[in-house]
Amino acid sequence: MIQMIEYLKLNSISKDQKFNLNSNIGINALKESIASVGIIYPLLVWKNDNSILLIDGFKRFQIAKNLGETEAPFIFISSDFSLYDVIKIRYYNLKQEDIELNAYLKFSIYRLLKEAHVTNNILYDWQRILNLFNPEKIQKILNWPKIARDYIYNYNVSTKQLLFLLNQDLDVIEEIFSLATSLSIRIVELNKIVEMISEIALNDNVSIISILKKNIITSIIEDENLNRNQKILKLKKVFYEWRYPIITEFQKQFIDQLKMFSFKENTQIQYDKSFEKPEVILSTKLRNNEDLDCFIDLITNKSNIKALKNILSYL
Amino acid sequence: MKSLIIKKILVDKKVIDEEFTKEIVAKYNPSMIEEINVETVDFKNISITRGKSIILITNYKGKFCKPCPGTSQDYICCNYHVINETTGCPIDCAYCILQSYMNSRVLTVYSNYTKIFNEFDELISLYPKRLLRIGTGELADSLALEEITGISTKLIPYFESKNNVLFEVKTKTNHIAFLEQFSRRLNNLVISWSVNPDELIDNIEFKSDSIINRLDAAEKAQAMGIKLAFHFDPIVYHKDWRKNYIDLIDLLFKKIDSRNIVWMSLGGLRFPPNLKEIIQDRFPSTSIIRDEQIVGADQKLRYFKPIRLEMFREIYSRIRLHSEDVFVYFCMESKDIWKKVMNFSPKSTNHLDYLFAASLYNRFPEMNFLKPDLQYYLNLFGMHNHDYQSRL
Repeated sequence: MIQMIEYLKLNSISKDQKFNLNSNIGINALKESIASVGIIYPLLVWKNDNSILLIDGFKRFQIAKNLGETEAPFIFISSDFSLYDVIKIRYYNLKQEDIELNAYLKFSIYRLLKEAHVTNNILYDWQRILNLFNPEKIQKILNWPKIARDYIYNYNVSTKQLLFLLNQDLDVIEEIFSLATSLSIRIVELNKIVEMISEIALNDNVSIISILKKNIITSIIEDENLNRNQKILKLKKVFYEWRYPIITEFQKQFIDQLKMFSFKENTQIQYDKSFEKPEVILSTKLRNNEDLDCFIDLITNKSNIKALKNILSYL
Repeated sequence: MKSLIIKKILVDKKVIDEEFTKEIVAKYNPSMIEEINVETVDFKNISITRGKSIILITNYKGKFCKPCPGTSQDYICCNYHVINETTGCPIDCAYCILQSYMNSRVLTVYSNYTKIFNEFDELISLYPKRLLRIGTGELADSLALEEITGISTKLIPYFESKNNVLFEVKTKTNHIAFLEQFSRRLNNLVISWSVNPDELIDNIEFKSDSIINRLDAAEKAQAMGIKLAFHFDPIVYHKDWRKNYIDLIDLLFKKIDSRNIVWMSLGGLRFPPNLKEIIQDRFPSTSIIRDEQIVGADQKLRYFKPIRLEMFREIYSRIRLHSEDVFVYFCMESKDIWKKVMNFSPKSTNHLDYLFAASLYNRFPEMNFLKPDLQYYLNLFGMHNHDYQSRL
């Protein structure tokens, strides 16, 4: 039943697979052992059409990699095994590390399990791992447009991020991922933007689609004078101002006050952007007497004193 | 409290013969009792909602009495001590930190609670001249399970035997029937209510009692000569916050004589960022996670300062309209907020501890509290000091 042991390059294991070593029990002993005699027990892997998936031996794999090992012994699960058997092995070797499998792989495994008609208990456990108890939601991702599925696959989206997107309607997903693709927005950034948009939608009682189709948004996306990064920055700014009107207004008023202070090139005012700390830091670079005189002029100037007092009154 | 439904009592094998365990078990049908080895059960797998209907009786391995976990030097803490005699709460507040904080999601009560007495004896011996304020209600509502566990009933006589101590039980219920068991006046007991307008109670403090039920209970406790406290915490921003909080304060002072109130606290809604996701998942319609919040110095989300200031000023001035001398303090706010709202600020956590003692000494002479010595308080170990922590 077990195949021959083969030595493989460690980097041939799917890069989409993530592990963490949260459970550190025995890790030092394992590290010492691998450092002195290498990996003794082969790691278990399963090869599908696209990649090689590590089934057992996460700690040993990670330690060997960290120690600079390039090769290790592996056992390939027999190709005669049914999907069900493979999943069963994987399932029974379930560990903390599995929580860190990327969402795409988890969903893939879940789909395979479903196709293999495993027991409801096993399906239930995977739903728990996915933190997803609503079968409709699982079906939803399988129905997502290719553009969205490709995006989450390529960007290695976490389960947490995926769950957030799963709460959105299909038309929203299409719109979001078309925006994301057109600007190549990183998934983490995309999630922040989508979170802001969905909160705006709830606060203002409007649909997400209607927000995305606002003139101000489409004009930024279509603006030929802006590069990709500028567009993303501008979009984020617009959404932020919309989401946080009180903070934005306060910041604007504060900045207006700052503008009343006539800065010199080597003087600056720093402040806590959250405005929790009631202080500003006025700093200057003194290189010579001329700089000193200039700074004294700056802070003794009546209009600057007034401006500083106004600034302080805002804190 | 609305609908306290307990479906299962899990009993750790180690405590099956304890008197405390037997008392609880006797209240339930044997079919609901399950004996378990607590080390082999993974309570994390139980959903938060389901966990609220399961009681676990076990032993507590750590210290019951701890300094209240004021988590930032940038905000002034009050040097309060907490007793974690129960962990997990049957009340379901959308903002509750326990949703993300606890390893176990079941309601856990501890049969070795008598350790509290030794721990507190040790604490009081360290600070003989200090007025110690200590209370339950940090990791659970103090009275939500009182009919089942009777834990406050068990703790009160011990604290009544001490001098220069106030023992506070904090609740969002009207469960004060247990007070009838005490024939003599309870001098060292403070019952405090966390208060909010009904609009918020209905939408984010699920299963808790309405404000009128809470205040009715407070009124009854007042009639029994019990000292009272009220916590405007968390103060939650919402459309009609101004009117709702003003009405609430007016109602409170209509029912309660300020001379019976030992302290009142103000604290804006705050929670760790990772709780946002849990709240969103469990209470998708709530707006408390969509207000204008920033990450504070304690790494918690809290309202943008101008919003907090506006609410604090309104609430504080309304309280002062009713009472000039009731002790009002902020829970975990900066000196800046204190100054802007109250026109003064404690110099430090120890100083605030002293101000509590001074207010209690002056306002309640019949309590015979020791006259607090400012210098003594200022020289106390700070609660963030590791020496102090290790001595507890």
